Amino acid sequence: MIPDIASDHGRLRQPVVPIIYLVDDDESFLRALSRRLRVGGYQVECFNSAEEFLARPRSEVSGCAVLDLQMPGPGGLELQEALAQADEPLPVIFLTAHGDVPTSVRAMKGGAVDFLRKPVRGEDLLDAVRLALIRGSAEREKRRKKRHWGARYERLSPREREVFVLIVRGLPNKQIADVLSVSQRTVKAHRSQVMHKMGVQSSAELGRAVEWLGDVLVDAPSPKPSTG
Amino acid sequence: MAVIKALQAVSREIDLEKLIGTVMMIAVEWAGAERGLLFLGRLKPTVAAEAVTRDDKVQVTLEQSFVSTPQFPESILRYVIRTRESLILADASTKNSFSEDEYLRSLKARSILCLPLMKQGLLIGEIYLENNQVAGAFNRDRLIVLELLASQAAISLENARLYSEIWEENSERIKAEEALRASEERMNLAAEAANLGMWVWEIANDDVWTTPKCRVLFGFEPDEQIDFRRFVGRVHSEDRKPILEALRRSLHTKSGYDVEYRLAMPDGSTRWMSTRGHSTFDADNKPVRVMGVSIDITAAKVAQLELLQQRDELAHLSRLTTIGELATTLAHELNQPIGAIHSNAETAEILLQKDSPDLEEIRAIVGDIRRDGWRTGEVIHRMRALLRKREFRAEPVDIKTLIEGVSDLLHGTLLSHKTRLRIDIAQTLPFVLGDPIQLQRVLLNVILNAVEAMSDCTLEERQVVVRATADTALGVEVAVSDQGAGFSRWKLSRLFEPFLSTKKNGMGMGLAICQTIIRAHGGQITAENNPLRGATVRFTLRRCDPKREESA
Repeated sequence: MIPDIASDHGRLRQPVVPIIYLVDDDESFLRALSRRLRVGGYQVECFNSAEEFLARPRSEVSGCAVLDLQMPGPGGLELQEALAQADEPLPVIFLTAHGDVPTSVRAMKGGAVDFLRKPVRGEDLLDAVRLALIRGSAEREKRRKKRHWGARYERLSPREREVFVLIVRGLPNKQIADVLSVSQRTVKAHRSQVMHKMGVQSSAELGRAVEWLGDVLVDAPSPKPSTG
Repeated sequence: MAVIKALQAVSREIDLEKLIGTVMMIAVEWAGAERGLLFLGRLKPTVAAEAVTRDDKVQVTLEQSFVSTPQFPESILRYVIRTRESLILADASTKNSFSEDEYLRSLKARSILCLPLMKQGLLIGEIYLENNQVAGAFNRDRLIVLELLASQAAISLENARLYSEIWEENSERIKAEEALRASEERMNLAAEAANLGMWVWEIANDDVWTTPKCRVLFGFEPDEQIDFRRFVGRVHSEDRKPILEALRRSLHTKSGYDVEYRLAMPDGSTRWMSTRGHSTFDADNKPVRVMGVSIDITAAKVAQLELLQQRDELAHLSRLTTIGELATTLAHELNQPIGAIHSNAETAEILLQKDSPDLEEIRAIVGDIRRDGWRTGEVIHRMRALLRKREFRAEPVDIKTLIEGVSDLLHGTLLSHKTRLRIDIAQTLPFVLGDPIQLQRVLLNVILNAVEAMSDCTLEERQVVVRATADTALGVEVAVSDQGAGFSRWKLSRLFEPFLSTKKNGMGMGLAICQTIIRAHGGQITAENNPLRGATVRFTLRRCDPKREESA
């Protein structure tokens, strides 16, 4: 019932061609750009409007969105905001016929990978797409790891979560027992539960998990300085 | 002696009522009558007075005080009127030619005397005297004196009547004058309330009369002597010429004139006035006086100027917005097809490098490229149509009218920028051939640039000079000079390039557009720095050659 991180990795490595989602209200431009991306080796899906794109069925395949900034109805920036709300946000590249500085700043702050002017050189666009896919898969990996460690951490009892924190801080069992005012035997039992539930072999491995847990991690009492 | 005194008294009296009283008093007393009547009126004699003796005293009652019209023997009166001779009846109660008279029958009258009042052969009235106590009261001796009195009375009565008429006429006139004065006062009151000042310039003695309000409006002391020179001297020096011209025209055409101008007040302030005037002329058609009504319109004018300025700003803003929007639209409309062409061409190149190129795909690509190329042309065509609001229409243009028109348009702007505009137009300039609206746009642009170039100058320096001279080669040259900082060498070399602006808030389209327009007119536009300071922009325009026009 818990997705296995190893099998997840396995799926990513399969030779799946990423999909580039093109959104532009200009039919001819859409066709031309999709041709260029296809001969660059990508799958391309074209959409005439932001609405059409948002209504598309979810795809598990990695990819990126190339959005026209100026479109009738919701523009590229609005679409970017809508995409950011998704569980698996797509990396975004903007294309514009006459972008101004404030708009480009807003787009980049919103997490856009690049902001390109029309007409765009094919190589420049392909570079941007490559960067977007790399960044996209990295983001995807991060989210996956966060989900994985988060789910494992969920399974710990409150006491085990305190022991988790103290182990990560590098405290020996004796000190953990002092801080929590329990016996060392009890601490040993908790430690083995934590290792088991988190699916790790060593406290070093446990330490690496901490960076994916972030603020879900509970705090634990500090060791008293008098007891040393 | 008594008679002479009486006559003197009568002759001196000119008050009709008093005279009547005196005459009747003397007549009744002298004749020893009981009762006397005075008739006046040439056509229809009416009783003007009645004198009655009571207790040795004569009482005279004038016509207007009559309770009822006194009775008298009409037949006797008719007789005297007809014969113009005096009549004495010694005893009316005895049978006589007037015995049938109703009055004589009912009233036992005894002595009766009736005599005409004659003046230069004209009958002006009658005196009737009666004494019912005694017969033969009036004898011939008395009659002579009475006739003497009557003739003097006639003269005096006529004089008094004339005098009275004149006096009445006079009093009518006085009444009319008073009414006029009252209406004048009312008018003054209304004028003051309306901030109106009225003035009259008597040309012969060069004196300007004004209402008190007018003095206040023009800033003159209440007792200050004003002549025409002083009066016009109040007008702002720049507005003086148009006013004098309006006046001259008005005197020439004998029509009224209507001017708006500024006053330079003694305290240094400026006021806006509106004056409506007209002139009167003598029999020889020479102007006698000019009269006018002036009203202070400063408040209205200031509001109007502010409105104009706002409209200016609004127009400028909307122009900026339009250009900005246009640039955006143009970029979008053009970059879409160009972007598509570019990508398609790249794809086609890549496909063609393959061993077995997908010709179907390449054909589709080439078709798209062709359509997008066509589309690009269409966009440009549409944009040009949009920018070119109206057709270029050349017609003969009077450069003087053009410059003055622009000067009018800029009046408010110049005021708000505290900049003077000096116009210097050569006497005989040929008409130029051009589109007046577009030429106006050029001039407006160039002058506005000059005005804005001097925004950092002192008030004394802020002067734009527009000079129009004959250009031997082409026709007319117009030069616009300012006293600003001038152009840097770099700017001077690129002055007519689009999107170059030396102004903080300029769009930089001005001079580029000017160049386009002037070149379309077959002229040239150049810019240079002045030897001392500031810069001059000049442009030439082709003279309008009617012969060539006809042959063309």
